Amino acid sequence: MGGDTARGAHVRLEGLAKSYGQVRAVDGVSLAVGPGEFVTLLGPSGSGKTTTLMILAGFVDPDAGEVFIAGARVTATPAHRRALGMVFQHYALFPHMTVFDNVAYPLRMRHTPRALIRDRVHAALGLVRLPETAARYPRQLSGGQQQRIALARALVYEPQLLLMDEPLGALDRKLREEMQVELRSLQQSLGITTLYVTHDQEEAMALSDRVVVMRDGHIEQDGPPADLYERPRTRFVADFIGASNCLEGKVEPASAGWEFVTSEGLRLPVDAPSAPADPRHFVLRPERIRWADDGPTDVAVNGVLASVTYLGERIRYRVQLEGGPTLIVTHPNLPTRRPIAVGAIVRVGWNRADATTL
Amino acid sequence: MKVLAHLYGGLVVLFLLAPLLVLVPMSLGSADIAEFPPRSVSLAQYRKFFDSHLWLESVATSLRVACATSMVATMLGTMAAFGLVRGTFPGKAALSALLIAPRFVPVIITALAFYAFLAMLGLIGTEKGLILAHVILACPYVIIIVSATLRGVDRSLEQASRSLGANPLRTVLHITLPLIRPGLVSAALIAFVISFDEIVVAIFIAGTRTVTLPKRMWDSLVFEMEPTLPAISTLIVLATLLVCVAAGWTRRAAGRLRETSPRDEEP
Amino acid sequence: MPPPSEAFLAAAAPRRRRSTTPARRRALGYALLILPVLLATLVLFVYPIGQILTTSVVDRGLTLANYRRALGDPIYLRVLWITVKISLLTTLVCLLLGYPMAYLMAEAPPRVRGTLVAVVAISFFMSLLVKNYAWTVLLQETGVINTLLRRAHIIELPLPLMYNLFGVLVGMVHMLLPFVILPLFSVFAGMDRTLRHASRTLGAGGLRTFWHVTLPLSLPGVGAGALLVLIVSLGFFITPALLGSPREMMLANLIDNQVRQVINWPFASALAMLLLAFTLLTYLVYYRIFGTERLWEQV
Repeated sequence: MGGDTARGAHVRLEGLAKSYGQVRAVDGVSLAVGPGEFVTLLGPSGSGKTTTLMILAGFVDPDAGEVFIAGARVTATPAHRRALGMVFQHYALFPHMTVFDNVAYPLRMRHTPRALIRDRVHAALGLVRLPETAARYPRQLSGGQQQRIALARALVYEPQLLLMDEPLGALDRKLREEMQVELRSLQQSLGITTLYVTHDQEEAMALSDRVVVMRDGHIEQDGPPADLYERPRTRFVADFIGASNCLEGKVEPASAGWEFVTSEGLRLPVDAPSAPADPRHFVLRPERIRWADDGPTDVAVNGVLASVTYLGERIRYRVQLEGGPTLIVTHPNLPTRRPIAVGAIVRVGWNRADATTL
Repeated sequence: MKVLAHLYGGLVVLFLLAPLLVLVPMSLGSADIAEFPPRSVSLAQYRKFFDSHLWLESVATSLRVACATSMVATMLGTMAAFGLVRGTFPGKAALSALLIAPRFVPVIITALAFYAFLAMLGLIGTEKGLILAHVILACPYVIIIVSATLRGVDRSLEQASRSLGANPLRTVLHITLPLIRPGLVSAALIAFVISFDEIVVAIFIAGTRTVTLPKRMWDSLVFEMEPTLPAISTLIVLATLLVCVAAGWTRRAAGRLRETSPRDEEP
Repeated sequence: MPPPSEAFLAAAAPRRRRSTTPARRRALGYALLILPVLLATLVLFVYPIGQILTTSVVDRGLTLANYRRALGDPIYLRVLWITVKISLLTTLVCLLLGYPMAYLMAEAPPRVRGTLVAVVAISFFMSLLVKNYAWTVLLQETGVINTLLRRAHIIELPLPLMYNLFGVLVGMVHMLLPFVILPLFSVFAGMDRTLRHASRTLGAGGLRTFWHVTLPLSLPGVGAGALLVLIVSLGFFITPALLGSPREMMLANLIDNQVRQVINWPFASALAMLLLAFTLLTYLVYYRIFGTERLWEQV
């Protein structure tokens, strides 16, 4: 198992479409993934992310569109000839075979000589740090262990593309976070192109070079995690990735620039909207809002503290602004924070650049 | 209230097991007259049975027919189960109903139909004819059992196999068939029992040379009561019981094989 | 890696599919697997039954004479009536006896429940002939029951327990009770306990909970069991032959008699077709009320 970077294949999906009866599961999805890239398809259930993955794997035939792997058109190629590795949500380890036989299975299918099989299986098990499990059966292993065996099995024949369908979904939170770290480092050291599907946006942001947000069968936005978080292009993306305050209204020119007028009539200074859009939403991340006392900001508004929620590492405040809308403010739980009483008058502020209009 | 429930349950159990409770003791009695309770305890009836050339020949016939039926029905039924569970084509529901039909049509009608048809082909009184008839009777059961087992197979296992480079045929051979093996065994055993115990069709189709065990027993019941009937009955029950216990074991083995519930401990 | 440009996306418009996709070919392959059984069923089952149908209406030309005779002659009408009567009685008794038993079994502690299920299963799988033989031994004039009762001086003369309606009913109920108990048991065992608990916390006592919650939920199982018992009873042959008198001759016995003794094939065929019609009618009634899903569970 070499450590040669950028060993992965280039993947291209063009105009994929798939309908089940009246439902358009995938509606015009086009995507390009570079060698060695880790791309995550992120979205709620029904967004088409799993169907897209299944089309790429060859288990679902698209109604329209093409699939290219390493430059070759594989749309009509059956799944077993696409030379990719796949990890499933519930591991899909063959229960009637030992761990060794499970991992050796793809090598046997490729008629690899016996001695070589043994070496490569043990190397793969070593890669996922489970060398002593070879003789055991899947049911004797824990969930996390089973997932790593599934990974070893998908990697043992050195595919150029790795597909993962919510592989960490069945694990508890702590285990999931540990596996995420392991997964990412493994992927980077192997340089294998990876396409990952999940509905968990934190997971997507932690693992990926690029996140593709999907909704109702099409792509909403595609970019590095920071882009998606800092510069969401649609309200859906802003809502789905991280928490945000979202106010409705419209943008109007004002004496000193532009203003966002909320439906309650509150006027907030904003940066110039990017033409030619007519933004109707005002999006502001809770952690970008500061108490006006802590320092100068472009914008400042008065309000009343409606509630305080203690979340351990963060404190969540709800501030009812004069003029109507409620903003959610989150601050890290630092020892320097000042306790504020519910019902107190507060003044909050942010910089214009921190807010986005959509 | 509880006492009433226990009493009722006990009575029903007594009712259901009455044949065994009567026949087994009787089978240990005299070989000349069947009586309950038996005045003397011996294995005379059993010895007489095993000494009887005619009865043993019937057992052999029944075994031959049942084995053949089981093999053919399991093969055909399993293939059909695959087609019905995995395939999608118009009219599948109607087709399923048709294939299951022999199970739900009264046996006398099927027996009559077989009789007329096989007579036309000159297969009356032959084992081949009986096997054909029994296969038709047993296939629906095989289809139902194997279909249920197939539907319980985790599709992602087959997808994993294909993603790992195994074509559909090899996937079926290495993954699907081993996983449904308990269902296959169960179906084969049920088909065997159905053929072994089958009586109505046997009455119509049997000739003088193809007398199955049930047919000979029926003749004895209708014409001339054999005193060894209790022993024969006990043996039949024992044999059927053994087969069903075996079928039950394999079904439970199926459950254990599919139980891949991970123990969540270390990562 | 920059996201696809607008031009690229525009150029990658969805294109049309070819007509034979791998999916189509796969579907054909699966359909072919069914072919052997289908052929066997058509040749050995459908065609022969069709033959019976034609035999029933062809007697020197097309005629319904056989049916007229079957439905017109009081002797045969009586047989039809007895068949229906016995079948309905059997179904009723099986339901009355089996329903409480299934409920008891589902409520019993695990070990007892396992034993009970085993008992029912043993009874279910026991050879038909063995069971009927046992009842002849039990019910005849010099049989076990009469002998025991006489020895205990409870009765003087032997009770007529066999070669009459009682004997046939006992035999049939014994054969068919497991057909009711097993599906009902699985219904009760699978029933969500919390529903009954909820009913009780809402103020309904045991009896009312049963009437309003348990009973309605168990009706599909009751229907499935009743259907099966009814259909099998209609075609019953062995039990009335062994345990009944000529007065209890059922349709199947009549058919047998017409084929193997009287050798009147056209008439026997007509009777067989009538039985088939009865059976189909019963299924239709069941579908109307319950739908088709349940039948696949009856093994």
